[in-house]
Amino acid sequence: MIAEIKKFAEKNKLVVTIAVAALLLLIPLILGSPYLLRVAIMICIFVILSSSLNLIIGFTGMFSLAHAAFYGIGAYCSALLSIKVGLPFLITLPLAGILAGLIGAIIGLATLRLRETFLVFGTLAFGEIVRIVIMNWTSLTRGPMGIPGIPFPKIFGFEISNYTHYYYMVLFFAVIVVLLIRRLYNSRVGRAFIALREDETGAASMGVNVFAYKVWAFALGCFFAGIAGALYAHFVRYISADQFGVNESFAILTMVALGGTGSIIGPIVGAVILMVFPELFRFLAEYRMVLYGLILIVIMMFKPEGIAGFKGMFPRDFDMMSIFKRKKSKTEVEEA
Amino acid sequence: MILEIKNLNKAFGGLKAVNDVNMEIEKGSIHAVIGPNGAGKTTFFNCITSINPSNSGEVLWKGEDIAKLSTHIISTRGISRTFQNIRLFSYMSVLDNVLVGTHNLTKSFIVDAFLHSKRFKTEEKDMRDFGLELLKKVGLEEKAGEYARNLPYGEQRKLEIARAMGSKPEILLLDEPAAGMNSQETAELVNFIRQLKNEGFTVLLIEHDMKLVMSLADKISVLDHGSKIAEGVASEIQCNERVIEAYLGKRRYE
Repeated sequence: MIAEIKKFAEKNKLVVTIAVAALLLLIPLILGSPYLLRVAIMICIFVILSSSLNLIIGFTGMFSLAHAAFYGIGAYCSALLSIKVGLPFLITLPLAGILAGLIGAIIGLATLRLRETFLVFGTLAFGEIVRIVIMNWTSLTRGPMGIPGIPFPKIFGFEISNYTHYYYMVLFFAVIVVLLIRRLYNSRVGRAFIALREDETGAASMGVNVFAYKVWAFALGCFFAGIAGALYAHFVRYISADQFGVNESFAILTMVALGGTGSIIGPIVGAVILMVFPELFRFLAEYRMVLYGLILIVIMMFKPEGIAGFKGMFPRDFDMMSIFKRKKSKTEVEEA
Repeated sequence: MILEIKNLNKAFGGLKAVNDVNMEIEKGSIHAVIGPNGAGKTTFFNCITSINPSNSGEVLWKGEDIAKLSTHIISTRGISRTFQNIRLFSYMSVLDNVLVGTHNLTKSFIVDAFLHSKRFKTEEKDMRDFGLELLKKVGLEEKAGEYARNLPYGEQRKLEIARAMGSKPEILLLDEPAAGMNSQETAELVNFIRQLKNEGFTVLLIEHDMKLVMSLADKISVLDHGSKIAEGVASEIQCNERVIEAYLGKRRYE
């Protein structure tokens, strides 16, 4: 079915683009209630997060369970800069991305020599370290009390304080991020990333600096996560460490896995489904993590490439998960 | 002498996979490395390209010792290779595989890709044309858009050669290029390698197909148990006692 949808979309590219754009722009009118609009805003933020994680997992074939940590770093960076230094949003937003990207590069330099399973644990540990540092660095982050009173973003003197305006702003950034990642996908750098995923030795023999490109991919993914963090901080206006824990990393991971690794549309699909689902089934709220775990296992067993992806999330030699996989021929699909 | 290997050693634990090998590869020649299974031929290639860096010895590329350089840097020097156990990027298109081969001919980086800068556009177009030209050379231009994994075995080998040529190398290291090819494809390959020579490429190849080796190679080196046991032109190798011994075993009664 996915293939048919794709074919149709490719045939009527212009019409589909206009229809999707119109739908996205009209969403505030269609939804009406601020509650639903809030969900739409969160979807946009998580589209940025899952798309950027996909850059790390789906393109380059690495792994990260620290994505929420970089999201948090971005959120805290932007919040603190605007409260304590009074910088405008248009400056704190890129700074949040750059700080997250820089820390991502440093962490990458330290951990990306690790292979598969070890990389998973390395990033998992880093995610926890970030959360605990935020928790305990009370002089800067106010620790467990969190940071309240983050100002609404002001762009050229125009304060974005209502949900409709915020939705348009976040939508704008989400679209830009997705488009940039798409452009990257079809470029020399993107091809090098994918080549790394497919065969590191082969890529190195073709002159791709394996380690440097891994660090670049990781840092770039973290940069976008930082941007998402800033957008989140100025939206909820109160942040605390527990919003950026490992649970959140797993949520983003599940979105990428469910939607589809290595494709542009996959993480978007995943983010939409996993943000809407808990809202529909409010009574399941406490079992959210159980649900994510179940989804991951089911995806792993029956459709490792996700709904719209075309390759399993886990690289070939990722032994821990291969026990869940059935025979390769069945799970590998022919068409993206 | 374009490539000179001096006293190259590589051991895996107690096993000496490459044992004190010396070799000189003449510019513009087709040089073949043969030997029984497990003789260390592929390890020899891996040492030259630093995939398994050698323990000691020198690899002199135009006089520069490249033995300690890493794989991706060696590729920029003008040395390109194919693999015995095909290492294509299977979930990339045939053309994209070749484009990864051209990685170091181009410079555009992340920001160029984001903004579709002028450099990005010209490079992208030039490389696409160059890639298609290479695919045409190996006869795969019609399959440019297919996933590499969907190609039949023989065509995957051709694609590996095209990809290796993407970096505009001076020497091509071909690891069993004819393995898995039928006789017609092998004949095409022989012509193709001859054509490479005419275009000025130096070719160093490992091959089991003796007919191919004998008809192509200007010089043949024979490895056995990691050591070079013979070297010379085809006719010399064919009647060399030690080579026959290595392939067929020792005569029991004199």
